[in-house]
Amino acid sequence: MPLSRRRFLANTATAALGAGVVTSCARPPGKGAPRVVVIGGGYGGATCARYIRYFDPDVNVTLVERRTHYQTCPFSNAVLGGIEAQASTIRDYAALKNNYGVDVVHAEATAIDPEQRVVTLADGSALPYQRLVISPGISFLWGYIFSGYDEAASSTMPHAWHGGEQLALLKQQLVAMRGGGVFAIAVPGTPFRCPPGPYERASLAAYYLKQSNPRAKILILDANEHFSKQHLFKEGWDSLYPGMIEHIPISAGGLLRRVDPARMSLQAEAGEFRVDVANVIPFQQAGRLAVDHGLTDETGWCPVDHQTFESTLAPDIHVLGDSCLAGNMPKSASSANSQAKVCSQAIVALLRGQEPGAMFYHNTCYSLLAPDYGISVNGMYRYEENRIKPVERAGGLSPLRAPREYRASEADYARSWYASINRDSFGV
Amino acid sequence: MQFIGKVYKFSYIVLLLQALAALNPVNASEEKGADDSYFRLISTTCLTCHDAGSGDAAAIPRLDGLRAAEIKQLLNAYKSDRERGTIMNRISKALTDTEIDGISAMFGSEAH
Ligand SMILES: Cc1cc2nc3c(=O)[nH]c(=O)nc-3n(C[C@H](O)[C@H](O)[C@H](O)COP(=O)(O)OP(=O)(O)OC[C@H]3O[C@@H](n4cnc5c(N)ncnc54)[C@H](O)[C@@H]3O)c2cc1C
Repeated sequence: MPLSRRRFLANTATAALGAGVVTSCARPPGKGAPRVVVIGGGYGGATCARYIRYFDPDVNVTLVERRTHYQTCPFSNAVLGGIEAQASTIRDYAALKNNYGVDVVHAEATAIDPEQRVVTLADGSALPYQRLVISPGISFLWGYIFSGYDEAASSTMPHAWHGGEQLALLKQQLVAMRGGGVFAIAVPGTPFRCPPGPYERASLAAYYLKQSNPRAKILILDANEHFSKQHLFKEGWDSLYPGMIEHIPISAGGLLRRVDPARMSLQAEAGEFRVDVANVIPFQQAGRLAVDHGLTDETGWCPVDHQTFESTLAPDIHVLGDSCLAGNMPKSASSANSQAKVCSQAIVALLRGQEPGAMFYHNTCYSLLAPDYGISVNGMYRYEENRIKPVERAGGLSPLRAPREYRASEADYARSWYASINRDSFGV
Repeated sequence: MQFIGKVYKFSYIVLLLQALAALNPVNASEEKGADDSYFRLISTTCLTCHDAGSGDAAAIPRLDGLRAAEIKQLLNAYKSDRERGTIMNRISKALTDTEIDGISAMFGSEAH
């Protein structure tokens, strides 16, 4: 135990140890060492690359990511609400490369050959692998359920569900909105990335508008009946933003049927809404790479073995994060980070010809309703009965009617969580 | 089971033991979980929120610098609600005694 503890602390840099201590991770593996290729440097892929190197420094890891900088979706609503700078939500891959010995390749992965076990990049170069991990995020089902919305329409009615320019555009529109205008959010049917995300967005848009445009209204057109942390959000809205946020669930006609960007019109089952800003979030499926390579089932998401995250449709290919079907785990950065650790542990065992052991998973999602008002939901899971099974009588929601100090401390914890998960996933 | 099958293809006795253990999943995971690699995995879970470094926004406390016995005592206090936090009460309720021992040993120093 003492030995393994020392290695644990050193390699995770838990003990106030800078990047220098992770030398054992940065050491390149010997000749003939197995190679894992990871495609997608978001929360799932980055964490997996890092933790395979941690669990076994004798494995080569190549991370393929199309972009040199990653804009986090967590805290993008805080950017919208003006309480976080967009620049502070951007990460790069220098630490993974320099301190953890991950080969980082910035390129588009265009093809996977599961027979030959080779990934092809846009420039035609080939990367052979023993095991492949993909964590490609989500893709949009343009035109599904509601018509008139495509990539072009998103330059007038941004979805802002990937950060980046879309987020900057939505923010610009929020700031420029006329006095007393309507800021609308259309929520897609589940499952979608970040179940509490649209409602956190409504909260932080309200936070911004309350100061600069207090007669403005927020309209949520929802393709669902209920939503994540609903009672907590509604309680918070009543006390922080009374009368500002209207939520129309599917039973009241919240389902969007058609959008017309030229007229700033949202046609829902409840009728037509002419709005000033339209944040239209499309229905979603697994990332393009997974869809194009037959890794999805009829749900549009990727079925995986819950112990290893290996695709049940293609051997030696593991799928993580938003793209995979992971039981009740929500599509969150926190889930992706946890799944990546489990998957890394399993891959290291499988490469050694060992049986993967017991697994433990965790998700915590904080939402901010104001800079000093946070709420949370969390779940813990074990691998039992061949599936990811929630641990009973554990996890759950922040309490209703909690004192404001409780909400304030959870807001502090949310910021602290954000700093920590970024270090844990992208390295220090 | 798929992987268990692969590894122990020839050992019916082991298969039988696995099948019996599966009837009692809590025991199964505790039995299977009682090794270093599982404790390491579960401890990395803590690091998602508990910063690994100096942490500018350090509302969530770091775990190093505590003794194993202190970590164990804290986790048990959260688990029994003797200590009132926010999410730690909800998280610690998921942990078995063996897991609490394992995590405490991974993070904590033995003695001072
Ligand atoms: C508004 C909003 C708020 C959110 N807030 C939170 C929060 O507070 N807490 C939380 O836990 N989660 C939050 N999330 C959810 C979180 O962002 C996602 O769940 C998480 O990013 C999923 O990680 P991933 O690895 O599956 O995908 P991603 O993070 O999307 O990463 C996928 C990566 O793969 C790359 N890629 C894809 N295909 C290829 C290819 N062919 N070649 C090369 N590279 C490729 C992409 O460039 C991308 O970098 C939020 C999401 C949104 C939209």
